[in-house]
Amino acid sequence: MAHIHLEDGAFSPFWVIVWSLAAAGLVALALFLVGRREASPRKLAIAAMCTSVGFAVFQVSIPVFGGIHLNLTPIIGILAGPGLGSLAVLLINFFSAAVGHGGWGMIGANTVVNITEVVVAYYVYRLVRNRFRLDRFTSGLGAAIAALSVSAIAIVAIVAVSGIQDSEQTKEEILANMAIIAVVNVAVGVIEGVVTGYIVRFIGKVRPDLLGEAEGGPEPEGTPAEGA
Amino acid sequence: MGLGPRAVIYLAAGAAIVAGAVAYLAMGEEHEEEGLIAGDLVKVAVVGGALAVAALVSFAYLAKKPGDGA
Repeated sequence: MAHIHLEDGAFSPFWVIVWSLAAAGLVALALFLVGRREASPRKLAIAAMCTSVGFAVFQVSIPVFGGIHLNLTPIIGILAGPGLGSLAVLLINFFSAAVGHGGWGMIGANTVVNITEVVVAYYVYRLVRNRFRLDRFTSGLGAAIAALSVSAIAIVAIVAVSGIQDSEQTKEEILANMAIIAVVNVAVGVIEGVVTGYIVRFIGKVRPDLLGEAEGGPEPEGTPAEGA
Repeated sequence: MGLGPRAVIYLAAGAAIVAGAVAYLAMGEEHEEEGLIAGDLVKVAVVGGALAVAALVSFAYLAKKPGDGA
């Protein structure tokens, strides 16, 4: 749910560079994690599917609360893992900026926010599902709420630190407005949490092997693509 | 007696929704002047009602076990 929808020019060039470098560092870490062991064709296919579905869902604006959209970043994290999931959200942000959904200069900040969601959702899901042995719906709901709450705070922090150029509001007013928006975002994040919970539960019924990594099990061997 | 992780998750979800609703209603007069809050409440009520009907139907007809003759 969390996404900075400011246009280019809202952040000063200094902060655009800072957030772009931060995103580049996180993406480099994700590439390192992915490169440590060879990703199976099945895993790459899941990540590609997550990227395309995530991009499509990003563009569907729901006309309530001033316009919201789902991200599906928690489900991306649970299915693709923190490494490939981080690369998926980078691509989603590039393609979104290409169609005018957030400025090009926001790609760095938005990638940092979305990678946060992916990583938090993955590890919270693992914790709740494996340690506390809760059902998949509750685990998905908890992972999404935790991820989207952290990212809502991250957005407020990023905008508060960066400031908005040529804004008539003072920094305190911007921070107060952003805090209210963050609270609303967390509430809307519960809706995304319910969606995430149902998707995880459905996948767990029809293809539990796709949740293998997040649930601590080994990734199944001998996929058709590997065997070919 | 401490809360279990399941109770914590559902309490957090409920608290987030209540806090979000309060924050949104307090967001400012401009929203009220534009009719956004009233419009949003109608939309949320309609969608919530539709989802409630869908949930009732699914629980009544789809939640049967295979042996129930569903």
